[in-house]
Amino acid sequence: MAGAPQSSLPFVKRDDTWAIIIALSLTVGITFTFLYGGYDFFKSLAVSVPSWSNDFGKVTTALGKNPMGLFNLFAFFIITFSIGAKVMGYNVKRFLVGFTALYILSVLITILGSNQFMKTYQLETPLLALVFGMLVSNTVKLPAWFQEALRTEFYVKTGIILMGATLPFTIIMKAGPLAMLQATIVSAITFFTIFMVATRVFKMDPRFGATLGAGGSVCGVSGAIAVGGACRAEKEHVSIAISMVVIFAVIMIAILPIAAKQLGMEPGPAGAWIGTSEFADAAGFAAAEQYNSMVNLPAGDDRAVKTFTLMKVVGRDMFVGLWALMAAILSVTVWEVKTAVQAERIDYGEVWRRFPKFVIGFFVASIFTTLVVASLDPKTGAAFSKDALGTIKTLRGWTFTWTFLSIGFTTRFRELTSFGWKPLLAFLIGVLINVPLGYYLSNVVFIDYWLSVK
Amino acid sequence: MQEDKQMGTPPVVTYLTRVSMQMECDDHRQGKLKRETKIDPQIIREIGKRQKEHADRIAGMMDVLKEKGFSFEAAPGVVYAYSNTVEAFEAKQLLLSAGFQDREFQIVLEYTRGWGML
Repeated sequence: MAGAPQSSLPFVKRDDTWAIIIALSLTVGITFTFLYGGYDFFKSLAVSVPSWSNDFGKVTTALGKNPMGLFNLFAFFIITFSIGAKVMGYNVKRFLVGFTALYILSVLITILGSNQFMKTYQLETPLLALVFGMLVSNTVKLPAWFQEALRTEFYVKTGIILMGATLPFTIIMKAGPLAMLQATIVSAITFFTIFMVATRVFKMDPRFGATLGAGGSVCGVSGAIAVGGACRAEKEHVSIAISMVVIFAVIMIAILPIAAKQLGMEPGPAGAWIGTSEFADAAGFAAAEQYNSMVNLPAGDDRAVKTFTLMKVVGRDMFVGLWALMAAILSVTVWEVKTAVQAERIDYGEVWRRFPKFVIGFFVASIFTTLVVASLDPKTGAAFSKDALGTIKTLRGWTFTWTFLSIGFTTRFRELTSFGWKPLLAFLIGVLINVPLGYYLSNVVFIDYWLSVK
Repeated sequence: MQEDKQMGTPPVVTYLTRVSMQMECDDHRQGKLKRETKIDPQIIREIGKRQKEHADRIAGMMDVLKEKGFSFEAAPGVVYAYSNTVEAFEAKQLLLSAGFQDREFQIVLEYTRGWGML
């Protein structure tokens, strides 16, 4: 059926599945070739652009050292993404052309975002990609072939799984429970604030209130869709909640990194704050990467992105199914004023159906590389962490750049649903509680934990 | 990309409403016919009668949903009705106002983001 949701599609037709296949294949391929030979190809994919000011020659020299790099990087991803695109039913011809254009743009944006002058104006690659995309998409009608390649979810999920490969499972085990605790505190308070303001103050439909609340607290668009579906919110409710999330997520990409820098936050707590207070995975990665670029961390230091990932993916995303189940139970009993015996049956499969499956790939990738490092002698382990995992980090950076461009190109404000001041105010009040609370927990209450994530 | 006829722009979300109707009636599922039950032909006739009534109720729900353009699919022990034009709350109101009870069906609503945002 047209427009079938991801969870009702066969396993092989979901973007989660293909993100897992591509990212895990890459992780396993890099690991085995690093250990047993043939690593040159994968090493060549690790294309990075140095910082430059007036000396553009620095860029050409760096790229010239790896002459096949840009081509190999392009070839690898266009082939693997296109196989996935074919199986998932995208228009492959359009995707091929569109991804080629997106790739060229990503190279140009990365070069431009590495320029010192642009950095002075905080226009590092993440924000530059976003701003450029939004400027173009809100002024020019994008061709259909290009739109086919704007797969924010596909790219960000691939990047998150690659992130898992570079995040030791020991860190997840250590910081994960705390991330869950902090995320639960903030999500619950924000959700109930938005819900209560919406339903008690503005007398909005409880299903609308819950959908707005989920969008503002659980995990952005995915949360609004999951909870909206579970409590049978109307299409209009979900559309408005998504519009809110989009607007505030984009604003937060610009505000949170600047605020974190101005407040003198360390990378660990800054990432945790962004993970608590950003609304969507892709937007949050943009904010965390933007913060990383703004504070000029040494190459390879991605503490902010790590703590962001722990907070957002481990602390928040995993629990969307439970929030959806809670909304489903409330919907058929409390909101419809029915006893448990009279009420429509609850589908407890909701928890699994709504579970973001790419998180499994994230954990598998982390466990795999952690076991590999643990099985190697210290010298080889250190070399593996620096070289092989360094390559994965660089590739993760490229998938995020495609994500940021896709966010920009798909954030077309004229296409958002128009909404009244009531949902806006309810959502805004939630944001005004979420952001300071997230800061307080990240930078005061749990600061020691977030500082300890290396 | 599906166009929103009212707004002339791509929809922010699309949805799929699924109504599932279990072929087995509640009595049977709740274990009325157990190994230790004292069995006689009358019990079997009563079960058959209840099953027929239950099947008639499902057919009745299908009639109501069919009028609203739902498509149907069968799986072992269950009939599914799908629509991407009738919202879940409308489907429920429709069935309740036609005299069916909440426990006779289960509605699952799945939203999908209309374009690749976040």
